[in-house]
Amino acid sequence: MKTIIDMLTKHWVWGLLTIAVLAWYCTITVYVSYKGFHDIKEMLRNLAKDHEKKEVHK
Amino acid sequence: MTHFSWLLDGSIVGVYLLVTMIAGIMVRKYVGKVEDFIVAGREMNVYLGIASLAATEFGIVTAMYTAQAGYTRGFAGAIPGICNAIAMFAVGYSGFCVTKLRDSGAMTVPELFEKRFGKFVRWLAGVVIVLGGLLNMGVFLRVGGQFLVVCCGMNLKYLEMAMTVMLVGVAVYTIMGGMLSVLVTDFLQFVVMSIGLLVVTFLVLDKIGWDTLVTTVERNMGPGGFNPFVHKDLGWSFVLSNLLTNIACVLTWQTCVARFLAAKDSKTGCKVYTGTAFFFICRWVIPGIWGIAALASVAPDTLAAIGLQFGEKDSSLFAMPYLLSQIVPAGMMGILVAAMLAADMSTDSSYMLTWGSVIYNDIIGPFRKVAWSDKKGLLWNRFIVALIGLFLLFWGLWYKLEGNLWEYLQTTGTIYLASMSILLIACCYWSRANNWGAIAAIIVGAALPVIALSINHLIQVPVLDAAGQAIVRDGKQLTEGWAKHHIGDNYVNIGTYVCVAIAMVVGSLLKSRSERN
Repeated sequence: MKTIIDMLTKHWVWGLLTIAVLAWYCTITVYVSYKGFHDIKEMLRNLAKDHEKKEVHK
Repeated sequence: MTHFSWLLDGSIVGVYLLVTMIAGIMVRKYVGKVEDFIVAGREMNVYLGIASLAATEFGIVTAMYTAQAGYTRGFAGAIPGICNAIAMFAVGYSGFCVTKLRDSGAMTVPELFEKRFGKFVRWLAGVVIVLGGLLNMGVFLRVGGQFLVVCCGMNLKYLEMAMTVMLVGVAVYTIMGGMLSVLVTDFLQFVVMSIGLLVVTFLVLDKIGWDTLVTTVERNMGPGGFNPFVHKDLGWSFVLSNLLTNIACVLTWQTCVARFLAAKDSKTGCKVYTGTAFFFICRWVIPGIWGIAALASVAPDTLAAIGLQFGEKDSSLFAMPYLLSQIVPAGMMGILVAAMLAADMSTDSSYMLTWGSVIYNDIIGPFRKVAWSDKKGLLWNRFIVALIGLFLLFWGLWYKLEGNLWEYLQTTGTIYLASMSILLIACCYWSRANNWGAIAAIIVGAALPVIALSINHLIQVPVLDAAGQAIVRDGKQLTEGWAKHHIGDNYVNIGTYVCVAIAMVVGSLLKSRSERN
């Protein structure tokens, strides 16, 4: 708690930016990881479909 | 003495490496054609793109130079990250240039140039992109190895072997799965890297404290440590130079633009850019804080001894890994090293692939008289990636870095960043741009940084203190390059962009005039 108060009182611009960076990593990263996993599944599914189509054409 | 436990931490790192390798190799079956290999069949969606771009743009080398910036310049050292985030958000939000690039269907930037400026410009652009890119990434492996040696307390004689093993591992999955492997492994690396960065930053803040960080910067750098405009070595030229470099990076840096080109469509690409923008602030602020923490707690003599061990003039690069080796406990050390290896592997794989794609598509491509089959194209792409891996290995082993790492990366990057960004803007928005202007711009853009680097290497001048006396360290007079001393890296960089723009305009107008006559 002392660190957070220090960050907001001593050179608060950099303190606030550091808090924002840590908050970003704690939240957005989790969200991106969750959604990114689904993107991988979708990407591989689409590529597999594409390959199947190609095989049928052959 | 480091806290790295080979049994506990080594196991964590080993498991991580194994999972990454398996994931990277498993997706090779989805690679059926060259487009799958270079741009993942253009099937990449927003969140995978954000994870991949954030992971690629953060390697051990990034952590090292951003921490070095924190150590030597305080909080003001993080300014390049803010410039990068602004540039990426603005380009992503507006779609400036990149939308036209993606919509053209090109797989690389030079491919778009051929449509407007002809085959020769495409080939020449490919050559300078590869030249600048390879020189840039040439130092990655060595710096990565140095981090591991200092942080894990690994014996220096194993440095080359560790670097080789890591590079071979990365090369294997990149050669097999191309961009698909890069995206999937980038995703895993993004997750591991994020956990590591967070854990270590909370630890540093807890052990050192914000108050100590601020006081250290105040004591060592004064107000300049917080405000780049009043810093004695930075100033407006530093901010402008970084803004220009970062705009050019966002528009034409192979690893960035390859993500945009791998996106499903230009709208997805723009979302990837805007969504990733803030990560660029993170990648400078987090290691920057580690660097400041090192300044607060590591004795300069200790660092000088480590620098001597590697034969490097500037020991500030080793401050952050040494600090981490001292404060991160066993168990957590495994997470840190896995995170750093994750960061490095994602960077290396992406760099090898994206620069390889330029060699295949734009340097060899224009000489192909008939279209190659996908099988032959894939074989060539894999062969080129392997060759780049070999280059990285040998260049990384013998090249010794002198001075600030970020300035080296910026100068080598400028060899192509200045000309390619001006060419892309002219190609997209200036109807009178033509091949004369493009060729002049490429030559000027490559020549100026190479001349500056050569002068710096050949002509050395003594570094003077405030009283005008030569500084002597360890019995030797401290020297620096002539161009760096008399002109400054930032002015060389800004000057290159200005001269390239003039060359583009003058060259294009000369051709228009000669055709009219």
